[in-house]
Parts: sequence; structure tokens; C-alpha cells
Amino acid sequence: MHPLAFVSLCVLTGWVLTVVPLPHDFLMWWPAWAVLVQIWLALNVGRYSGIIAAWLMGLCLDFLSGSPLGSQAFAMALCIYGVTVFRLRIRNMHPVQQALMVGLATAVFFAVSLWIRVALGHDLNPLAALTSTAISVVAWPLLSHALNTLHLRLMREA
Amino acid sequence: MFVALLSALVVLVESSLGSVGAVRGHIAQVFGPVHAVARLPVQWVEQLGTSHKDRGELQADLARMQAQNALLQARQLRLQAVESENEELRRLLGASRRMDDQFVHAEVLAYSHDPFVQRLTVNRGFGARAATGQAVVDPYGLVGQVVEVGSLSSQVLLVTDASHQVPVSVARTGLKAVARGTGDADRIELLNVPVTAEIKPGDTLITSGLGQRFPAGYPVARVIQVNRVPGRPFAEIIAAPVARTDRASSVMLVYRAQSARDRALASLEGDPGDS
Repeated sequence: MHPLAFVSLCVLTGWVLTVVPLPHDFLMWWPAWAVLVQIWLALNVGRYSGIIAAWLMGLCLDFLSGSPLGSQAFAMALCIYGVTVFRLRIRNMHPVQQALMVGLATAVFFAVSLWIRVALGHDLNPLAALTSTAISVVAWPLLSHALNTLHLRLMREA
Repeated sequence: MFVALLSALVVLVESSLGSVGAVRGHIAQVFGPVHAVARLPVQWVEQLGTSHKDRGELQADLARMQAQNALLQARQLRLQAVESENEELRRLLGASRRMDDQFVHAEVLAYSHDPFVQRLTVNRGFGARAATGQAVVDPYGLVGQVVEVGSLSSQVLLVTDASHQVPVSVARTGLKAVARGTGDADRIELLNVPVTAEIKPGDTLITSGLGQRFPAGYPVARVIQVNRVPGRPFAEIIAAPVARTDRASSVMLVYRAQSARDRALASLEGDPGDS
């Protein structure tokens, strides 16, 4: 499989997991799948996941969720920029440390996204972002393991 | 830096130009397949549930629906009598005749996954003459308003969204207020209601029709809590939406009947000789 096809598949999977219909009360307990996938791509397939690509993915998330255009795009770009700068360090961390770093990156994503929306006059409850970040930390090892395994298998076949 | 500037530009363009909503609605269509794939597991579970219902359950459902239908028919007959009586009274009073709204059924395709945005997507777009600002209701009350229209679907901002406000009146007393969403699916708050206002838990809030955005008379919420804090000029009033905003599978778009006044205003606006 071509790496670009694999990246596209990962991104699509992230989107689908993100928009799975859920009752509103469960949304805050749902990991930020699209952000996690983007972080994994930045860590492992950095060639195909730069800042501009992250910005475009964030813009797609804005369209998908109906949030103000540019809010999640900028947040995603900033989050992936941080991950890219510390890419090698994060990759070599212990899984628990890595999950915490991913949590930090996810928190940056939510903080920036919320900041833009509040600046635009929205009145939001940041509790949802905190719970979603915490759940994302828990979900990261599972997602990371699944994507690593799939990536290795597909690359070996190629 | 480039990305920051690009983001700022996008945010500014969207917040300053209202026409971006239509473009956005069209682009959002591209993501229709993503929503469709995400809904597949839910549809499979629903199909599994319906295909495994036994005969007894189906008969019980049918009996319940027949009873409900009979009840609704009886209520409709009573409503027709009340409506005609109301028309007669309005005629005697010389008031303008109230026009009936038209409804178009729409299926809910998706709910927003973003915990900070209370929106849903319905399967009606330009083809169904859906328009921005159009009210959306379900059998229980006001659901929200259309904010983006695409060719095949539209985005509906729910009354519970933190950025949504609707002019309401208390059905019992006629007290006017503005109801604002809180971002919680089961809470709406009333703004700037004086502590001396006559309102209590259990009161029903209906659309007042002020602002000409929502037609008057649709139930919006039921008051569940009234806090009058000594020393504060306004009461804290919390209400629960009556519409099933977080679990409706179908809704109705409201097409307002054009009154004589609206027609006259429209003809004045469209008259080139007026300017």
C-alpha cells in the first residue's frame, strides 16, 4: 500500500470515529480521535503530515462539526507544530510518558480552539475539553498500538 | 506564522461575511459520506432491533399507536372547533387573520460531535426551499433554526446551543423574555427577567414571535428552577427544552404563511420605484 493511501485511510478513520452519532452527554467522554490520528501521523509518518496538512485537516474538522471556520484548523496546526518540534523525544518516550505528552498536545488543541471561539463571543463550558483530553490520554496507547501494528504490516507487504 | 495569518483571515471572513454560510453549506456536502459511514453501526443496531421484534411486541406497538391515533384525532377535532371559534372571535374583534404555517418533514442525518456545538444535520436543502433562519420544530416544540443550507442537507442550530437566543413569552402570564441556550442539552436560561416578574417552576415558555424570526406560539421550554437572589435585580431562571433536541430522529421545517402585512412589506422592498 502506498504511504499516502495509508495516511488517507488513517485520516478518514479518524473522521468517522469523530462523527459517530452519540448522545450529547457522552460526547465529553469521547476521545478526540481526529487529533490523536493526526498526532500519530506527525510522529510516525512525518513526511506526509506537516503543519499545512494539519491545518487543512483541522479545517475539514471545522466543516464536519459546524464550528467557526479556522478555529480547529489553527488549533490543529499549533498542536502538530509542537509535536513535530519534539518528535524524536516523544517517539522515544516510555508509553505512559508518551500518552501524557499526547494529552498535553490535545489540551493545547482544545485550549486554542476554545480561546478562538470565546473570542468570537461563544459562551462555552471547558469541562468537556478536560474530560475529552483525559480520555484521549487513555485511548492513545490503544490507538498507537493499533496503527503501529497496521503500519508495520502494510509496509512489510509493500 | 503563515498558518496563523491564514486562520485569522478565515475566521474574519466567516464572521464578517454572512454569505459564507451558503458556500460552507455546499462544501460541507463533501463530508456527507463520512457521516453516512459513521451512522452505519447505528443503523445496523436499529435494523437488528426491528428485525428481532416478535409478533406480540409488534401487535402491542400497533395497539398502542391505534389508541394514540384515536386520541390525537379526538384532540384534532376539538382543536378544529377551538380554531374556528378563535377565528370567529378575531373576526369580531377586527384583528388580522392568523395564517397557518406549513411543515415539511426532514430526517436527522447527524448530530454535531463537537461538545461545544449543538447542531444537527437534516436531509433538506435548497431543493426543499430550506432557508437560513427558518424555524425547525418537532412534535413537542421548537428544536432550533436553520443556519446553513446545502444542496441536499441543512445545518440546524439547536435552541440549547450557547450562541442561540429566542424571544419567548410565559404562556400563563404573557411575560416576555429572551431564552438563551447554555450548551447543555437539557438547560436553557432566561435573560434579564426582573426578580418581581410572575414566573414559577412548571411554567411553559412559548415563542413570542417578536423579532419576526420564529413564528409565535410554539412551545420552547418548561421552567424548572427560579432563583431570586436578594440584592440582584434579575432572577436566575433555568428551563428545560420541551423538544427532543438531543435524540430526535426526524423534525419539521416550518414554512411561515405570508400574511397580508408581510406581502405588503415584500412588495415595498421589491419595488424599484420606492428608492
